[in-house]
Amino acid sequence: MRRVALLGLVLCLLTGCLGGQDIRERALIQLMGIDYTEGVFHLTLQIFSPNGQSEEINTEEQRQVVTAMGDTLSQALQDASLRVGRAAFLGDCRAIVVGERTARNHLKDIMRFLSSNEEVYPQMVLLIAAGQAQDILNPQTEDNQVVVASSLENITGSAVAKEAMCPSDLLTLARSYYTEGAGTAILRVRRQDAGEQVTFVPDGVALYNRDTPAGRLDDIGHRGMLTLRGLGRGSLLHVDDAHLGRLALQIKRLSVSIKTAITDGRPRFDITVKAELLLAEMSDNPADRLSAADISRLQDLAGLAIRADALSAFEQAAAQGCDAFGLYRYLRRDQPAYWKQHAANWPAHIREADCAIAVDAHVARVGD
Amino acid sequence: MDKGIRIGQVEFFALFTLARLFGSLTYVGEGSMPIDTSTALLGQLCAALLAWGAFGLVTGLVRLAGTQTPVQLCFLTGKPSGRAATALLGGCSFLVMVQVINSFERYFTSTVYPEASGFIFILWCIAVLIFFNVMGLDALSRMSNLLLLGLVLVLIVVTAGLWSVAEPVELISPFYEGPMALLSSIYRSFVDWGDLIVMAMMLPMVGGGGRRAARGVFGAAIVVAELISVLVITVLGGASRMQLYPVHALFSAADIWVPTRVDFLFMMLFMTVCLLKGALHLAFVDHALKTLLPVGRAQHSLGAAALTAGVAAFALSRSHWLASNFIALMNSGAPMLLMTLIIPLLWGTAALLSGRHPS
Repeated sequence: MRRVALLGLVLCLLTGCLGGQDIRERALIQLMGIDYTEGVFHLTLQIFSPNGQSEEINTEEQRQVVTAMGDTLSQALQDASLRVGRAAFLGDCRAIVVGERTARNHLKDIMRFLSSNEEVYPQMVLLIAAGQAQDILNPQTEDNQVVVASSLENITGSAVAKEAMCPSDLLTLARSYYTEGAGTAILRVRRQDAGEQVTFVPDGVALYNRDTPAGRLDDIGHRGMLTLRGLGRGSLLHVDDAHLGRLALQIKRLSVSIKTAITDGRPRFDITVKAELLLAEMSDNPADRLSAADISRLQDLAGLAIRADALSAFEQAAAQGCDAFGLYRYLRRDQPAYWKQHAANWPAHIREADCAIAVDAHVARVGD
Repeated sequence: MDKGIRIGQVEFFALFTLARLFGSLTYVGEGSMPIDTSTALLGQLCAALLAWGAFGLVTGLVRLAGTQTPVQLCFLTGKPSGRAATALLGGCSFLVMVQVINSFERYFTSTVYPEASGFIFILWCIAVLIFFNVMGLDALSRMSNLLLLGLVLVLIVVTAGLWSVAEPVELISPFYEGPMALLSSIYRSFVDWGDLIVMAMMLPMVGGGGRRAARGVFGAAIVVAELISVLVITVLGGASRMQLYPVHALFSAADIWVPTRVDFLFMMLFMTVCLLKGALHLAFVDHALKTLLPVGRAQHSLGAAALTAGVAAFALSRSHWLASNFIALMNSGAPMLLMTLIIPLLWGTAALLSGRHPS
């Protein structure tokens, strides 16, 4: 009897839905823009508000753009909740877009806010806008809001899948942001006006050493960075051949091995890239198909193109004193004595590092 | 508990294994035992070997003492110092129980329900601890078997979900941080194995057999602890030190398509492992109280111990100063070391030498 009573007492104490909120009382933030102007944070939020009636579901109607402000990001989010009349929920947010100037001066506040918020999930993508985030996330017409959302979704999808875009998810960023010597690469996006429609397009990569902006990589550097990180699967590589013209090869797989050495007190990276590429031929006629010699020449050209991109990425980043490729990890593992001595000042030392890149490209026909 | 436990050593080992993994699950960055460095990988292994040695020492003492536990042996010296040793053993275990309740409350009010009051969680926790002890350690240990299996399955799922984002290059030489860091890691990891020694002290109450299986469970604890460390190092890297609960963050990062988030699994594991470890120590405190106090006065020792621990945990939740000092004390490993090695060995040996034990 006593056990039953105790069991009853325990059942009464079960927390269950303590603090729970009905989904209809929540404002699900899908996109968040952060700007800092005139001493306050301005949030531009694209909010999805479920009405809970399945027959009336109309995602466009349920989507609205709300602006809010506050001295801190938490206060601004609270302000948004008050304006919408529902509790803001960040657990469904796919991307956060930060204004360029705001990122330059307040990246520390933003990373701290995101790291300490229990709702934020590590696959959320952080992007830096060329200009202000609110200009991008708050286009004046409702049609454009939908287009902006879907074009951003394409970018974030690629960035999370680490295909064709710099991985800009929070987990990847936090890994480098909180590590001594590591550079952080954040995908940039810019607004593109095509007639009456507004879309997002990628615009290179912004480089940071912790909170300090180091510079940026252009589109070639962006591609090269993906190569050096062994990413970029699924993206297209264009090669120009004197006989065959311009051809597009799809990157099927990239693997990178990095060896380090210290010569004359300077670090040296010997990078070997193995690339598997796919070529789709439009003709079934064997006579029209590329010969073995053509394929061999294509492989050489592809190897040169990949090498040029990777070398450009390294040179751009090294000149700006930012290790955006995680090369420091190889030094830390293989040259611990050097790394212990130079870790604190690695951004200065990467400028004098040597880098040799060799590419072994293999082209296969689709269906081979 | 003093009625005797009808389970074998394997079930009991599963219980201790989960108590050991509590240290990995509640890892809170700076201060506690580091699990996110390559040094920790070697440190944990060395500490496990040391713990196995210490376990052998205590079990040797226990075997010499026949049917008596080290707590009873301490008491049986008959001297005030023997009683003090028994009280100290119980006191140290009490501190560990307070730490467990405090961790339980802190986790739920910081990560799962950030705006909730800690009081309800403390109340809930001590109610379950009492309930577990009323049901007996038999039930608790059998539940541990299932939970350990569940933990291994969950880790397999999470590891599969993290495979694509793990960066093996983050694993470096365990000697990178120097010998002092390695020694510190061994010491702090050894302290985390304290529950093993607590278990050894209770062996006279447990059925025998299953030594090979027990060794297997011990091995499983090492593998699971090392796997958690490898995942934290290769997936979170430098970001782990910015997380309040890195292993929770690890589970959040596991993307296994459906469901996209598996941090709820961590929550379940954390909760059950907390409660099991708390219940184990409440049983030990109760045992010490029943040894120390006259039969009539020890009648409500279980409830009194749990309530006092609840009040202490509540005080910790209200005072930052108290909590930080308490955490520093527990992180130093002193209570666990006193409880697991120094007192039982000293007084137990003294009791054996003086011949004042029934066997």
